[in-house]
Amino acid sequence: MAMKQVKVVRLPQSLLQQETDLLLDELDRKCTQIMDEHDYSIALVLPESLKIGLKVLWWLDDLMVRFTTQETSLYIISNIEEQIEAIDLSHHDQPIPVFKDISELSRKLQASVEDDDTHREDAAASESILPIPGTIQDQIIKTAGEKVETTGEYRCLSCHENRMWLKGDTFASCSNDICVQKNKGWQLTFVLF
Amino acid sequence: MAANLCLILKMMYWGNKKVIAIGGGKGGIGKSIISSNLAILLGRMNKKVLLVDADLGAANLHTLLGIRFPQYTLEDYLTERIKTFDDIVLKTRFTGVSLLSGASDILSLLNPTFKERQKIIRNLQKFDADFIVIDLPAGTHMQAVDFFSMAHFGLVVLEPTPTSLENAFSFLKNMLLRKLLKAFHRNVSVRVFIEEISDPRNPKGTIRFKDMLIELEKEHPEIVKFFKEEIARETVYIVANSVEHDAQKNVANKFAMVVNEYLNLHCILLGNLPFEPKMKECVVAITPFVEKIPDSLFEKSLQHMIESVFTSDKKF
Repeated sequence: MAMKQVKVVRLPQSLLQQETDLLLDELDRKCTQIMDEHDYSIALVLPESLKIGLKVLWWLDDLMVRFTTQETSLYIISNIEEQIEAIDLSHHDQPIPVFKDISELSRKLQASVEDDDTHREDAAASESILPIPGTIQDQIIKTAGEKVETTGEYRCLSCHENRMWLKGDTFASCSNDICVQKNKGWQLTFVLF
Repeated sequence: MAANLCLILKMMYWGNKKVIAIGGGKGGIGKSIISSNLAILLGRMNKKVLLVDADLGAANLHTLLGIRFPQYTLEDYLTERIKTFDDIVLKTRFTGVSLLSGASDILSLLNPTFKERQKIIRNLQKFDADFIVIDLPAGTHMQAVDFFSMAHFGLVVLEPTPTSLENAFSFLKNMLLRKLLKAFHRNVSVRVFIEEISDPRNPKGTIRFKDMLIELEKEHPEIVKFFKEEIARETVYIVANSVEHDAQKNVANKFAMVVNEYLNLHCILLGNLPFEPKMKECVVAITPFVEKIPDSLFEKSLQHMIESVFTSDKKF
């Protein structure tokens, strides 16, 4: 009997702060791409921050139907208790197998797991990752005098006026006349390059 | 009157033809696909279109139009194997669309000389067409930015990736630097200053284009004033290709804001073209997308751009 072929689907770290809709869009795109091009089953690594609400469950239902039609399987990788419980409860009639990690899946299913791991590197070396245009990285705060590392739109933390900053430039104080704390800093609100 | 001077000069240069140059700096972002599909849609509107493959080093527009081996190419004309320019223009199976193929494996044609470029341009000026659509090569070199500057519609194609956006920005910056060098063509010391300061490896670090103008203005206020007036009349058209998510739909708009802020260039956002999963399939089948997949969102978006800008006398 041929060994089961499983491909791992995960999200880049930089997307994890995004809204559920965007996360699901990206996961769906990745799953669809693999289902279209290959005869693989998929091990879906759920982001730790993902709250399993109705949107996620509906999406999982839809994904399950697509896998069943294609006669391949969907596995979930998660070790978050709330996520596992929510999936178990909602899919008690047709359970989705959940594994704590990839090695457990590989061991228990005796499967050949293909994990290109292109997005796991960001936990260890986030500096080396290119920004994703269109995303919001509101945890990035810069102050006047610092070098601009990411071209994009920034919001003044005092007056909330937006402006663009170009990579290589140096952050200056806010130039808005009515701003009362021109040196409070800049928050990255739209990533370009 | 002054505001229209740039357009009047271009009209004197090109006659009644409208010239669309499609660039963007990065390779593989869909410039040739957009050029070929745009030409086909213009042809369907009863326009006579000459599609020019200006990528002399890696020409492939003929393949996208279903022509495996172009009978004649620019090389035949520049090496004088074919004497008449019109004879190297290929008919295609698409109504109204002709092709000037750049297909060549001749190394010397990768960077045509000034004389060769002038020879091509003179013939394009005389050619009987309503539209000339020029598919520019990747990169930000002279050949690409010069064609871009000369066109009525300079179209920058980008995709929502950091590499594409960075290259598109460099492309526009190089176009402006080239114009600035032309404005100071008689002043060797200024030319050297511009070349040194615009080199990212220069020890003083990068300098903003605006700051460069401020420096030059101190010594040469008249020339910088003329230059600023000239770029104030330029309009660059932006198209985002392969847009997949809602979050990406705003990328081109924000890109235009950076260009405006840092390069003082006026940008018009033409719109977003969606990511089409079947695009690759069409390239493999050497069939243009709008022919193989009719009524797609890609086609509708492209058609909308044509009607709102390229064939609209009001905007032109």
